[in-house]
Amino acid sequence: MSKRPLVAVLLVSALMAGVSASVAAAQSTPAASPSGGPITLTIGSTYDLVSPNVFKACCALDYEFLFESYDQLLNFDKDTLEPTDGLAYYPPEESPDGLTWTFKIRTGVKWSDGVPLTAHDVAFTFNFIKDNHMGAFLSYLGDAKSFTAPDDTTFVWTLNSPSTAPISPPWVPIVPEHIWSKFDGKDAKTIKEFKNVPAVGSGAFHLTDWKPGQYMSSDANRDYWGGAPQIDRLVWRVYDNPEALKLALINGEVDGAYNLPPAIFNQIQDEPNITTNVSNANYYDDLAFNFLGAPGAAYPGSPPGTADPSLQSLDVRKAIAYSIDKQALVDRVTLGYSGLGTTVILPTYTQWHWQPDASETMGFSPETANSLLDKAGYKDKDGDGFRETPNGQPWSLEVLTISDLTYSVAEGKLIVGWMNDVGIKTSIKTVSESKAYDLWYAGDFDMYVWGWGGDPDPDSTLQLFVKSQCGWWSDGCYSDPAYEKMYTEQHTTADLEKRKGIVTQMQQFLYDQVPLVILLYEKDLSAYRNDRFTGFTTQPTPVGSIFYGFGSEIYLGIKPVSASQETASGSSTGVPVWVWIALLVVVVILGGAFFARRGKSSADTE
Amino acid sequence: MGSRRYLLKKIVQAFFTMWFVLTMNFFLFRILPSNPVANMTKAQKLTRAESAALVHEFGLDKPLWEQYVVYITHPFSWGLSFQSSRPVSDVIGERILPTVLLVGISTVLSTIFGVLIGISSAWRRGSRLDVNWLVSTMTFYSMPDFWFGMMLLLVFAATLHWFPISGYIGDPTATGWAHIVDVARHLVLPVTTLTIGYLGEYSLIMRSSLIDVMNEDFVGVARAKGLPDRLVRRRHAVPNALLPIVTMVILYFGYVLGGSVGVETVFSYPGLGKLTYDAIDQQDYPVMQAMFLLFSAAVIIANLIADITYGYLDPRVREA
Amino acid sequence: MPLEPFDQQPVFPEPAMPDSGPPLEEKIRTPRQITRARRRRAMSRFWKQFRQNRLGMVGLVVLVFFIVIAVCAPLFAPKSATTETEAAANDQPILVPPGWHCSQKLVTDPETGLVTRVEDCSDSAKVFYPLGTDGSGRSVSALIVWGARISLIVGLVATIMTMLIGAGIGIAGGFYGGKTDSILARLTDWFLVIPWIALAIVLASVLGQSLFNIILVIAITSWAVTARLVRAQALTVVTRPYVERARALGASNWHTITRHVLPNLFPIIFANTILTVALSILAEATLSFLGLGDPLSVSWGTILEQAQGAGATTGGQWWWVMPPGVAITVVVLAFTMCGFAVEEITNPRLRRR
Repeated sequence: MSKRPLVAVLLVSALMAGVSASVAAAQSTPAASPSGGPITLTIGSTYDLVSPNVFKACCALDYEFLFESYDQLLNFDKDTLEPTDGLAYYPPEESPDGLTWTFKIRTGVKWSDGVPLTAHDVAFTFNFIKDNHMGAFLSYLGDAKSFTAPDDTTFVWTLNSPSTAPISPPWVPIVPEHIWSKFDGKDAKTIKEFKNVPAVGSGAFHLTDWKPGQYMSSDANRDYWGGAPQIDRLVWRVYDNPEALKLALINGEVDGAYNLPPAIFNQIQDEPNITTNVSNANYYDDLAFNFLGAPGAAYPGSPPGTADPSLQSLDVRKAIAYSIDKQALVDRVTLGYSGLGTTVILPTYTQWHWQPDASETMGFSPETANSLLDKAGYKDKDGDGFRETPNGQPWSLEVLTISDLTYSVAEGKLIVGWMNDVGIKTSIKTVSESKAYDLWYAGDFDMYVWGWGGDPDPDSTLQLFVKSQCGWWSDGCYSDPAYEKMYTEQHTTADLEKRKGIVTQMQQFLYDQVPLVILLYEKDLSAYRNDRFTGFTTQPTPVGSIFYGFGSEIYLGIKPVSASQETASGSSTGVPVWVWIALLVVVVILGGAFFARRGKSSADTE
Repeated sequence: MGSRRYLLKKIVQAFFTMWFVLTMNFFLFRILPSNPVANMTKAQKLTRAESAALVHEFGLDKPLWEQYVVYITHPFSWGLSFQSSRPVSDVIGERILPTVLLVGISTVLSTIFGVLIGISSAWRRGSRLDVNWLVSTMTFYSMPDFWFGMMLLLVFAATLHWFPISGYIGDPTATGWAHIVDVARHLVLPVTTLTIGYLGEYSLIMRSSLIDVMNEDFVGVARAKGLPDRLVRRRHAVPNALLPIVTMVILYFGYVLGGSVGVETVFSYPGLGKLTYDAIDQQDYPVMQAMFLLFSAAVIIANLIADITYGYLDPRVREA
Repeated sequence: MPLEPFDQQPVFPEPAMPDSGPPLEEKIRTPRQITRARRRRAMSRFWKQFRQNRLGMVGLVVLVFFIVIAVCAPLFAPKSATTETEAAANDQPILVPPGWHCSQKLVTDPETGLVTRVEDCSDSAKVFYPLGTDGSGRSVSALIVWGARISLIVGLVATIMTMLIGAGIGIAGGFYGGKTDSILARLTDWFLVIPWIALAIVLASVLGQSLFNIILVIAITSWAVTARLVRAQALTVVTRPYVERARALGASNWHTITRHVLPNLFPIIFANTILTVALSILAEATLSFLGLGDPLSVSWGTILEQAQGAGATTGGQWWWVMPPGVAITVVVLAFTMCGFAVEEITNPRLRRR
């Protein structure tokens, strides 16, 4: 009848539930490594798989998934990234004219559904990419004429013009013909709609489950030709924010954490049982200029583009480059965890990267920037602190930044500030990545702070600046006839040394012509629980990442620390039991007081 | 007869309001200059032919009024999310349960405690307890609800580690009782934030409603009859004062839904509120449109229920 | 005592009576002078009552304090202290708690690649950061002081717009009645039903993010509450005898509204304005937090947005998270207390018996 006893009872039962929950939480075992079950390596990441559809692969964990589940024609050497045996043996047979390459495919390899893998699958994959214009992999095919498989173990790659494409190695996952043949000839949308879970591949693992936004799980391939993995299951877990990922690593909810932001990475340095790893990431951040709208920069059906005409001037672009304090970007945006940006080829690829020496480097020099702008005629005539165009027109630029990317906005803000400091009226505009694609395609920007992933073969990076990529992968439709010539030369030469020379020249050319400013080379900051697993390696050694390689080899060496897995030390979150007890005591006291008062006043009921 | 006409009138009004919302939704997003098809393709460039095919498939090449008719007659076809290319209804469907739990539990708790405190406050009007409570209520009312959540998170999760710092569940493979405990632990701080945020409002409304009622004649009569305070309160004053509370709670549902956007963002709680925040961040217009519709529909329906309930409880309104 | 009801004052001067209070001046004054004198007396009476209201006075003092801070912002820190480039140029330490700090140097271990932060006082003096620094190294206290301007200005301007639209529509509906009123009332109801945050998000996405657009969004989502309030009050005022009298005498609608209706609505509009400022400041904070604010300016809500985005909440950086929220709470509370005080004085029903 009266409310108070009921409320008290409810409160007490809630407290009891809370106590039991707190105790239960302290004893709970995370899913990571239950004793007696399959040995599972759980890696946490703030990225998710975009899609397990091989031809939709673009970003984030997509390439991880591809390397784990599929094989390539040739592999990258673990230490040097040079070509080595993959599904085919290296080196293949090269015809005297350099146009026909014959590969011997290894035998005894099976797809995860038991069907044998043959050269026909290899030929099918390359033909599929070529015939259906699967853009992500097209560039590795070179100027291909045909792909054939005369028998089960021979694969022949014919080119129209010579190139090193067949031995680069081509970064193409080999897919099973018997799964994908029904999509051959269909439109891109239909091909990319295929779910591909579970995924049939020949790799060290095969994907068995994917819950978007939560996790993806792959089982080990016991019969893998490269050697069976020493773990049974590989799970990638998605975390919404890096702080949660850090806590998960400390609690033991995950065994490894991939690509942590610098601030969080610093916080786990002193945690027990955690080994951290700093490596060169496969990514550079850049400030790219837009040329679309300039005379000659267009593609069939291209939009007019809104690039500010001042960006055509090399002096203006150089001035902007000199106004940027790259060391400050490294120190303040990435907390020191990145390399100073110079050329478009990542320093990781030591055989290709060219490093300008001190006299050639365009460092931080507002004085040089100011004098270059004066020389180009961009002076401040009306004394408002900002420069006008040579014709006296008001001049302003806009820097586009991308909210989804860790560093883009922070870098953009500093760059905008520095440009304003040298008298260029600049503003910042921040959009989501999908909106940025929209603006990029429409050519509707002056410059943006974005980035590119690198490739062991420099061709994919160098092609960003050729005319034919305008409307495809070119940032701003920059083109120059001298560059085109160099590009074609390196693309068609089969002589490695000659090619290296041309690639060096191209890097110098781009560095001097400033179609973009390379800001910094990102580093990958990862960590793992050394009390759970060991045997982590990197590719290439020693500067690669422990969780991002160019094949599945980095996973093959990982093994548990001891055969007997203890249950985890328990979650470190949970309301301490003393708090529950204190609350219980308070409720009892209050309840007692209420009951006493009730007793007194019930004497004078009606 | 009066009650049925009242009911009908309210339902018709609700429909009209929903139509207004749908129309506003349609035109607002047509003003946007962005090409919705280009957004969907992201990194995979389409040839112009493919792009034109998609435009045709989504009916974007038809005249505006035709698009409008299609839109109005299919209010539930929400298209694909720009960000994930998955159907918006799927994306929303996954998030409903966490939000219902959060908003539902918060509403129940804040109503119960708000009413109880409002009653005590009104009865002891002018006392130190009442004044202190008024000032506390005003303080919580002035606090941005998401910031209160940030402080709770900072203190109880990030520093003391009593509760998890984010999410809906910690272990996706847990089942049964362990799963319920997991969810409960993740709910404590977000629910506390929302509850306290609206608790003050309810207590104030209950308080002033009860004060109004207490000044009415029939209460004076009951007192004059010699009935003790407690019984006057319980049997006469409170039931009458509860009338506006019922409708207020239902009406405030809209505000609580809105409050969930900030709170879910702070706690990275994967509900509809966080979905809205992510949609803003990624400029995912189909999701934004759907959330706008959902929020509006929820409030319109809540208003309708409130009107009907009020009409049921208070016959005077029906006969008007 | 409440403000004198205007409808009991005669329009023309009355002859002086022997014991009817303070004597009138010998000269006969114009109606306008009388009205102004009356209003001045009413205002001083109001001010006397307000001074006795403890809650209201506390609120007012706090408000004045914050307005002074906002106006005198350059005295506390130069505007450049809110830019990232200035912090970079001065080598200000990143994410340090309140206290004395020098700049930080980074030391990279060549073998492991690990970077350690070391406080280096060799070529920089110790600087006092009362509220520490944020993720870009900017002093949080400088951000709070300059953020006050944006938060207050947006709150005030949005309120002016809200009141213009809301009171305008409310008065129009109440005054003209009939079909105009029913259309306007329907419009008001529609805007009341739509949850403000959903409408705000959609509008902000469509209009784009700028200071003016945020003000517009807040006004569009808030006017309906004011309109409903004003309309209800206007309906009662419009039926009063002197309004009918004015109409019968041939006064134009404009004259009737401005000279008779508006002055009577003034108390309730005044109270509502103050409370609306409180809500507008909260609304701006919420919208900025969600990322819909002006990216170029720093308001208290923007500081919280940046803190949340940088993981300050989960990272335990309380000096970045606490101050903006405290500032918002205190200012909104101050406006609310003033508003309640004004409401108590002008609305007799609310006062205790």
